[in-house]
Amino acid sequence: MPAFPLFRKQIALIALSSSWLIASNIASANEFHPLPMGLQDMQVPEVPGLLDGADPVIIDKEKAIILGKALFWDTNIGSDGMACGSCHFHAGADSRTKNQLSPGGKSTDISDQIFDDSLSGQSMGANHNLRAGDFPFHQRATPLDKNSAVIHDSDDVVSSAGPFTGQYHGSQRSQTSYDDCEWMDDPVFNVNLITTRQVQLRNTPTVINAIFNHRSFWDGRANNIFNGSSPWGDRDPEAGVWVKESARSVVKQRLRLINSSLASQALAPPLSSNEMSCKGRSFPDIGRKILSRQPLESQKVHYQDSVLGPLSYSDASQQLPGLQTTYARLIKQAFNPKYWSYRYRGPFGRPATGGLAYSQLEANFSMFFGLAIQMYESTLISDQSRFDLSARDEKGLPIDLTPSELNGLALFRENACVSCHTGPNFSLASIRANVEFNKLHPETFGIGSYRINPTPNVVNTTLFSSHNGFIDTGFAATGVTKDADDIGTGGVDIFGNPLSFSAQYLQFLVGNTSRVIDAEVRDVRPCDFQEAFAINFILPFPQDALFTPGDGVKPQTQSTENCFNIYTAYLPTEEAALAELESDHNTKMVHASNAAFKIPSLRNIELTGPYMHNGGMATLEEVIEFYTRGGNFNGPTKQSEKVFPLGALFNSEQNRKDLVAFLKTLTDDRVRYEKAPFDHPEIRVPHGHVGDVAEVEGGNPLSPALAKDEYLLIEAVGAHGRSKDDPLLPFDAYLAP
Amino acid sequence: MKKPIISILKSSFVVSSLALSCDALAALAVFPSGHLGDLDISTHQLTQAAANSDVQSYTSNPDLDSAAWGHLGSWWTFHTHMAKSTTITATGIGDIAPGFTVWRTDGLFDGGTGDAFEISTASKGVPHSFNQVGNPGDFGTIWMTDDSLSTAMPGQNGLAAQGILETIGYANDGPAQAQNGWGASIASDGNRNGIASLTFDSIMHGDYLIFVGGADGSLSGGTIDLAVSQVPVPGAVYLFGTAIFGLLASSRRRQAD
Repeated sequence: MPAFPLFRKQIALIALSSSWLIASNIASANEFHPLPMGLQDMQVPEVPGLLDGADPVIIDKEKAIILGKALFWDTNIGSDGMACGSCHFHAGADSRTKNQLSPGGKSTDISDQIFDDSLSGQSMGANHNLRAGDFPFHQRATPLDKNSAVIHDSDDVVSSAGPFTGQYHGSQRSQTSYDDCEWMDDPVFNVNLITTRQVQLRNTPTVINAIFNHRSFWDGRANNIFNGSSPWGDRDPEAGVWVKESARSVVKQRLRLINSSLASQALAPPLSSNEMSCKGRSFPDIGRKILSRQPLESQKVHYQDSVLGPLSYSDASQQLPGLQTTYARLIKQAFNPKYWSYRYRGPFGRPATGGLAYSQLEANFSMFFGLAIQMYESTLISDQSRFDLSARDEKGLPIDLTPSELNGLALFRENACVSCHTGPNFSLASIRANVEFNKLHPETFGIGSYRINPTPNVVNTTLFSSHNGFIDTGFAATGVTKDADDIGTGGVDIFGNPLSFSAQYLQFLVGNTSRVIDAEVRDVRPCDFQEAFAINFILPFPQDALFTPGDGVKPQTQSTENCFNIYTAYLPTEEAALAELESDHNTKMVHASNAAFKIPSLRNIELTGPYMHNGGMATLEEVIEFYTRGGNFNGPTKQSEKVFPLGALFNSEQNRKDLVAFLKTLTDDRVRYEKAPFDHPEIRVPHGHVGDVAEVEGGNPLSPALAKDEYLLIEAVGAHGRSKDDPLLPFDAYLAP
Repeated sequence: MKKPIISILKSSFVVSSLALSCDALAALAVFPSGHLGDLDISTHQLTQAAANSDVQSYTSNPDLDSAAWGHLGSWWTFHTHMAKSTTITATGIGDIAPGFTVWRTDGLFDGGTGDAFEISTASKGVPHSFNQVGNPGDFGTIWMTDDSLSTAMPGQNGLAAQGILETIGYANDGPAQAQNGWGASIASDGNRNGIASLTFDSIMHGDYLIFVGGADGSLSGGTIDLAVSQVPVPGAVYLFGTAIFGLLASSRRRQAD
């Protein structure tokens, strides 16, 4: 028998520390699970230096929000009529049903990147009109039974139709809305060789409440830190903004605004060739195109628009397009002059397609665009759902809800839903907002052994299939699709770095600090991990997922104040970590990022279908079936302790209905009726092409070789919203039967 | 991933003294689903429909090395006023194999107190994973062991104010498990008939705790009904003898057929 070194240690219990010891009137029988709460007290994480301090980036917040709302909805931003709002118009997401299919473009196996047949055996393809019978994209003979045979599985994705495929040659500064592009045939998106609009590769999430998320995009690649010119934060060595130092001097500086992942995110779609743009366009090019124009110059603005109304030409008798200003003027009103007032054009480069060298205003357009969009999106917070507005009893339960809805809430807490959909925004991805909210309402995160620690760590430990290991906080693999269909957070950025923060943390542990590119990875504090990773005492059993003194451990460098678990305030020595990482039987230095995606908020979920990263479930009922059977695939990174067959739902149809009823209480009626701040200008959104999946017509005004567009015209709505008989509906209401 | 189990001797790891930094409120580890009731002269049977519905909460979860899943199984208490023959039966309805363990407790079980040092072979801590077939004080049960009992850790008593005093028995309708994450093996009743049952000739009066759940994760699902019953006895019997404890031998587990 091996001799274990003897350690004389004092080992105390995990005791409830007073910071999360809550009053006994909340702690009562059965309610130790995390308790979802209203969003009203959730604070937007601050962005130091943006609006505050001696030299803020934004000097007029109101103008910045006007600028952001206009940019968000303006179809002049895209090369061929796409705006942010073209895909984020329905409760912040996309409810279109025609030409919304993408053939599994994230699949590793190229041969999978074709359109599959639907569940009902129909051939699907470009310009397909989605039907209820096409869903779900993974189906079982008996949907509730985990052992039931798979009768259909597709790696197709319901996403958002974007631009035609084109190569950018230039654009006009006025009048012509479309860019000058060489339009190209698309080998995937065509019907009988007539090219159709491309469709993006992952389902479009909602922008509403996105301001609370630490990182953005399903794979987290929109960095928390905004660098001013790309989505990549500190990862991009070339990023920066131009700052005027004096009348004759301008320098490029690095920008580093934290809690700004929405600004980072906003810089991706306008340049993306399958979302909004022809290939080869830059942000200064977009700036040049729109700076002299009136915002929303061909889109009607409601005279009562809560942000844009005062600047519109409209009145009660008629709706007119445009705002009474220009983008250049709005930018100059909103932003610190040091970012736009340099008078000379020399240092900022010139367009690749030729023409005058860029001005500072054009050169920094990416920063103005990203931050303005973020300012607007930070107003899109839906904290007046029935769940939020309900009175609460002494246990914190929302008593205005019906018994069915309350049972749904109880099921939500008892069946592990709340262990990922945690906090007022129903997502662990709202990292810093959750940490702050915990100070006000610790019971939101549970009590005793049921507690989900609201940690500021961007990396956490978790239990996944047969392992403990690391996962980026706010991300999870739930087994919706096969790993090979979409690697999610397991992917890499354009510089070849892993998107996963957990992968970086492993490098940090072995001492490869040069591989740690996101600085906040270094701040990860081990004693706040949800599951133990390294301990300083001996256990009677060899451990396959814990570092112990037998391997080699050292104390954490950070203070132990308010540790979640004081006994895990350790990490492996670099030698121990490296030995394990390089071993053939590595079980401790592992992470679960492959096929992991950002945990979405559930607010307004009634309206934001289809669901999951692939849009493969059209109804909440299909989502509940998915979780009842414990997911679709049991891959190696699946969060098997949180996604597993649920007896309480398997055995009771009423329970399933009640859970859906609870989820529907999270809809804010202001979102449903597009009341302020969810009101918006008119937008004409491409919605399929004339014809169907078998045949389309050429002769699009852009080019005869392109299919003719059909459009969805979404009318301008003012602060009072849509009429009472015309609310936004759930996605499945728009499907063909 | 099976590793050789080092036998749990008191000298194999050392804790010199335990500093119990307790706050006034115990850190509740699990909460009882409910109290089945009191067995007395007039009440001979206690039943609970759908006492649990998780197919692998008692055992057979490979991620826990087949330990019990404390948050997913169900905890039920009952009280008996008399020492007499008692039968506990868990019946699976649908595609589910039940399993359960019974303990005598010091008063009504208070849910135990989570601790940081009981970690299983699967690197899972209590009570997410716990030792469903251990004796009080064994590794994996210290969190629920009554504070009047000493434990496998030197100088250490159990952590629960109203915890387990003795393990009366367990029954498993699911497959046998070679090890449960805490160094013990779990036998199967072998008949896979959807019923797990224990009968004791006599148990002492007092409070009891049942942990019940599913014991076969390969099954599709169902519910488990729980029943505790005593045979009514003519009053004269109480004049004879004292209660006979249905205690288990320390190294073997006895199962009902």
